[in-house]
Amino acid sequence: MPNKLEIRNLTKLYGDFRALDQVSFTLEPGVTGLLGANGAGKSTLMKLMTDYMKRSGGEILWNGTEILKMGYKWRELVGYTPQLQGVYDDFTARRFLYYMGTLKGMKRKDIREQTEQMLEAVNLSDAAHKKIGTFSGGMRQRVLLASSMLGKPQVLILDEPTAGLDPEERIRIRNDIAELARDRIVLLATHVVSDIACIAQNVLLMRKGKVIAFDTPAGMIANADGKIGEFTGTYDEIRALQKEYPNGEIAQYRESFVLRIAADPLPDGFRPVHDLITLEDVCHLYLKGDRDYG
Amino acid sequence: MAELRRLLCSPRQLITLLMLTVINLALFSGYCRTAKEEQAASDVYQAEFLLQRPADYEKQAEEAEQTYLTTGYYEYLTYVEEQSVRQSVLGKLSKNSSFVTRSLEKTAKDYKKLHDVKLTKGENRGIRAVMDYRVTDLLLLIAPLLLVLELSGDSDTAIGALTRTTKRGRVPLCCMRILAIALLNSADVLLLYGGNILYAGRFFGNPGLQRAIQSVPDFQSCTARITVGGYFAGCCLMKIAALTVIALTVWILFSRFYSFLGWGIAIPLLGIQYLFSTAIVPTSAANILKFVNLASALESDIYFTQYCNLNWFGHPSGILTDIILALILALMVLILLTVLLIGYLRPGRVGQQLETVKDRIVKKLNRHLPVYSLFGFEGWKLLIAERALLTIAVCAVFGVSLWKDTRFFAQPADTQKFYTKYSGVITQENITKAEKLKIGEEDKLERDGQSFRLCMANEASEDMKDMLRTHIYFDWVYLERYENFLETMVTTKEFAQEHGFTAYLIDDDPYTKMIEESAAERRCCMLLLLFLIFSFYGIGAYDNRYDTRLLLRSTKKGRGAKLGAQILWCCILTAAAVLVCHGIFLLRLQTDLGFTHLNADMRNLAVFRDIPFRISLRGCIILLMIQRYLSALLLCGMIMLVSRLSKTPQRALLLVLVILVLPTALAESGILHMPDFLHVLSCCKSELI
Repeated sequence: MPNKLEIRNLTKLYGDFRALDQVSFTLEPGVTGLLGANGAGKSTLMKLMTDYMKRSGGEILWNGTEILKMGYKWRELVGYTPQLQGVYDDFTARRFLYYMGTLKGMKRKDIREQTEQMLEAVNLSDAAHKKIGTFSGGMRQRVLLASSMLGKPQVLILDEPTAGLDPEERIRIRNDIAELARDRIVLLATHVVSDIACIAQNVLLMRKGKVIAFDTPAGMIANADGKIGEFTGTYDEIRALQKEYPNGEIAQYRESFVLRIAADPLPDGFRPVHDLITLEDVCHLYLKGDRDYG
Repeated sequence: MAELRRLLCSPRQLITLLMLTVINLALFSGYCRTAKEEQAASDVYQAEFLLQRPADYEKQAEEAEQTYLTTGYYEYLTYVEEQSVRQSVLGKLSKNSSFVTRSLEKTAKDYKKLHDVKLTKGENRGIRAVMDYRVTDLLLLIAPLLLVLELSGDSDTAIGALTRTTKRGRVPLCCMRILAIALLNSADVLLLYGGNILYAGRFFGNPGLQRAIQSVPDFQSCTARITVGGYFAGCCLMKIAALTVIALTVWILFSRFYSFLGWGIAIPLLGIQYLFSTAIVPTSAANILKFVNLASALESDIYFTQYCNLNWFGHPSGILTDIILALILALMVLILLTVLLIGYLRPGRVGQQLETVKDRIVKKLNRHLPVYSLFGFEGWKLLIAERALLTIAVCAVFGVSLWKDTRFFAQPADTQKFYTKYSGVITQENITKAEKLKIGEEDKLERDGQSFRLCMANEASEDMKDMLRTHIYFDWVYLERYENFLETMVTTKEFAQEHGFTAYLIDDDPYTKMIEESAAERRCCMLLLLFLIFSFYGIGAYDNRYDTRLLLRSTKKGRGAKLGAQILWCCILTAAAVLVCHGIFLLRLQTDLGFTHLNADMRNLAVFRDIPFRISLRGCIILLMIQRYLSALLLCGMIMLVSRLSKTPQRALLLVLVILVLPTALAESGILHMPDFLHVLSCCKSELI
């Protein structure tokens, strides 16, 4: 029977502010993309899942057992990449991974073996002897990603793991995550829709502490049918329209310009798009108007 | 000006200066108190050793000082002058080298000029304390070195590249930075060295800044016509110049060489200066290396306390003039070099090949990096990453100096003799013998009294009378002591019989000193406190600084186990520190006075008589150490708590220093009056009994 992580009515209050409001969903092996604007509650959700902070209500069940009751046994199953680049500058990359392996309670032999594998996977073998303080943001992110994968955890919680990586590294890491997710639960929070577009089995959309959609990418795209439209016109027309639809995307085709928007219902003059709807369009549809999105 | 403000008024810089001032004040006040207590103990010991009454001994010391001020100094001048003239004549006859002859002639001339110097009486102990205290010179180095290391790293950063593209980002910026270094050094010297002068003045009394420096006997060889104030000002200027020369040298080295090579040159360069300064004797043929030397210039007072002429191509030149000229020259050359190498020329470093080799070696070694246990990793973090190892090394150096400085004066000879004879189990036989001693002393007193009365009747000489007065005084002192011994023996025996333990006569001096207030022990406690602070201030804040808490807490051992490992390290290091710091004190007591009869019941000593349970003296010492250890752990816990709540180690350090050291330093130095229960050092040493 595959592993299952159930989130039931999870709530987190900061005073009167509801950072998470009755959030419920179930995760199964495979990648689940978590999308939402800044402040949507993604990081809070992840912190509660790693039992970093106290929840205000709700349950998190691992194969039916409350994770709070599991204690360190739950943390043994989890690999986590936080959004903040929390790594020791004085440590070399290798030493840091050894340290993380020790904290995860791994055997020394496994720590050595897996550290070398992970350094190879995140393309840091040549820089493993250097202090993390001398690394670029992308390299630090890769160290964190490698540390989360140490110990082959059953649940990987990745908070923006590809932030700061160059396009080539991003693709490489994305593929590694997809490979890892074959028999694991991976929850991947990101701003970059393309990071999850190809690899996510499910997508979770959050807005103001609530889950507003949880479906497969195909299901979401099907739901968006008829809600994505395009307007073709001159540059001046498009500029005038863009004031009304600031989240619209402009593209140039030879001498004409196209404004693509997501709206339900579509305004007059916009031609519905039925083919080539992307996950990006779906996000525009659900998260439009959210500040800091995309 | 913006650069000056940025470098000098940054919170980091201000914190560093504040921290150094507080630490220096704490250490220097301890030194002064110990010096004063030891001087008092030494006076008592000396007086009795010379069989003089304390008042007579004091009077004699005062007379000696007065003699020095009125005639002694001038006789010394004449003597040096005459000797120099005589030897120069002899030198000419025996065809000595021209330098020796010229040097002797110069000496005679220099001393001849001083005959009209007016000497005045004043408080000299403070001047001596400031002069003898060397730790400040080491502390002075910290702030400028931190600044230049920060500046030398600037060229590798984006901000360094950006500033060089601006109009005033090269030579003018470099000049401003040189000025900033000089100003920082001035502030550093004024706060630390100036603080010592002020404190010593307050603690020992006004040193009389208007007096000629020769009024202080230690400066009788000084040929400069300056006042005490002038001497302090001269030392300050010399220290500022020496620090600036050192800082500029290090800045150039680290800006033009890769750090590996930079350290490789800087450490031997400064180390050798220190070596020359301490190892070469002033009369050596190579004394030029001792006197034209940065470490000596930083020490600065040897140029005022010693007289020596250096051989400059056969011409004698006074060391004070030489060092002033050398410092001015070095400053000019280094300023020009700094402007040229750092401000004008494009940044670039020598030693790339060495750096590549180092990188390769590190890469190879790193492959075989050991995987420690969690305890091992936390130890690595604490000792290496948080630099507790450096603290241990520095404290070890301070510990050695403390061991050397701490001294206990033995009991008077008669007391020692008595204890040698009778200490141990109290028997009736010993009591009888002690009674006989007392009776013998009473007889002696009677005889001396009769002699004195006879002298008075026969109008004997004043010297005779005075001698008899002293005899009678000591007869009284001894009689009182024997009475006390006898009383102690009798009461201890009775008390022991009543409470069912074996009665011992024990020399209580080391045990009393072990528990009573003393400056020496407070210094040990201060060292312990500073060790705890500098070792553990980063223990929680280190994780906060790098925002790793979120990541670490998501792991299996990232919570209780990690904290447990950190606490275990604190316990181990604190135990070692308590053993060393209090051990220094106890070991000194053992070496100087000696703990005896450790198996005896501690209630044999009058001071411990109220203890309601049976415990040996050895057990008492162990219990005392455990109690001190627990007190130190309490402090350690406070430091850890502050550290965990602080965002960065620097903030944690500042907070801990402000909470724990500043009030203690002010209280220790007598500036602030604080109730005992608030006194951190009392917590460190608080007596069990």
